[in-house]
Amino acid sequence: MRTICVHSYKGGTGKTTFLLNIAGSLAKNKKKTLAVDYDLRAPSFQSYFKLDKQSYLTDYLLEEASLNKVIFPCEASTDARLDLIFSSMDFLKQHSKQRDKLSRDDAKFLAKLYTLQKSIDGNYDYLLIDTIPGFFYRSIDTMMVSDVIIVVATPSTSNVLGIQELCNNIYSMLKKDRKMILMINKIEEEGIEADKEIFEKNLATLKKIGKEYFNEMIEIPYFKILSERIHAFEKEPHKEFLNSINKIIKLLPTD
Amino acid sequence: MSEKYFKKMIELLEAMNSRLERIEMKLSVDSPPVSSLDLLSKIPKSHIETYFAVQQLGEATCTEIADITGRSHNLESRYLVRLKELGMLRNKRVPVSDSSKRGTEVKYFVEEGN
Repeated sequence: MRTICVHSYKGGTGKTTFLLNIAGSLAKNKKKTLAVDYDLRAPSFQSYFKLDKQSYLTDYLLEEASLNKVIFPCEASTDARLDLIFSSMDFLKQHSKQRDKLSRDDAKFLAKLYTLQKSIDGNYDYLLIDTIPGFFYRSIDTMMVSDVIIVVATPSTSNVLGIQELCNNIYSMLKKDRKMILMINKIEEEGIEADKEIFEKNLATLKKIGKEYFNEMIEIPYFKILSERIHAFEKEPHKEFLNSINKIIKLLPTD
Repeated sequence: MSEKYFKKMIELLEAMNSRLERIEMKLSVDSPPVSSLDLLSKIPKSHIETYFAVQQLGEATCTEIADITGRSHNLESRYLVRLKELGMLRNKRVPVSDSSKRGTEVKYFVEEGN
């Protein structure tokens, strides 16, 4: 089994869209896949799937539920084996005890993630993990257990500066044992007329960072599509978008 | 000294004692947990599973660790030695746990504060 996580410096880069579409395409290609919503601060799997679950990732991490209670089959496609683990919105409540516990710098949650990984090894071909953007203990955990880290960045100035800092401080340590892929999502192209010069400059800087720090780099063109859907499961998928997803999949190692 | 004054003194001392106990409890909290960042900066990815296996068992021999990780005894032995060199684990020689056998075995455990 291969473990892949998708990380970013900030939210809104398309991290979850790409993760779930990669998961969907893998599953459609007969690869048994488990996708985990580990973006505890802003869970979003529920915008893709019905959310009537009783147990969540946070319950498993805090030993309040067993692993088999938090894994749910994706019902969106009958001919694909995609299972899901959701994150609870309770984490966002004002006095959330789960948030207090899980925000600590404690490697026991990393150990729990390793246990999860070991428990499902053999049942799945791919484990895909959505992470908390930026530098948080739990996002470091997810990156540590991964074989491949896909970093999604848009050519905005804040993203370029943030990715550079993450490269200096955290990606440099992670890249020793893991494959690092920089995915440049050109969604800023939507407003390119506003300031083409800044867009081009940021894009050039991102590419330079990609060459310096990452094993692979891939550019994704801007597509005018509804993001909250899995195209591999659609009757009439957006073919160009699916092609881009397949290009990312080709960069992933196989067993 | 009046009895009333004496009682007040006792109450104050008890309150002070209670506060001191609470402070003492806070100060005697176990050493801070190991952080993921510590592990990332100190231990190669391949060795982390070994570290967690030792942590899970409290103290363990190389064979016991290999049983948990599912990797070979030789490989785990190399990882345990490396983790000891990195200061993440300690070891001690103890009599073999099987009372029908003679001799000693090496048990690894997590270094205090790690």
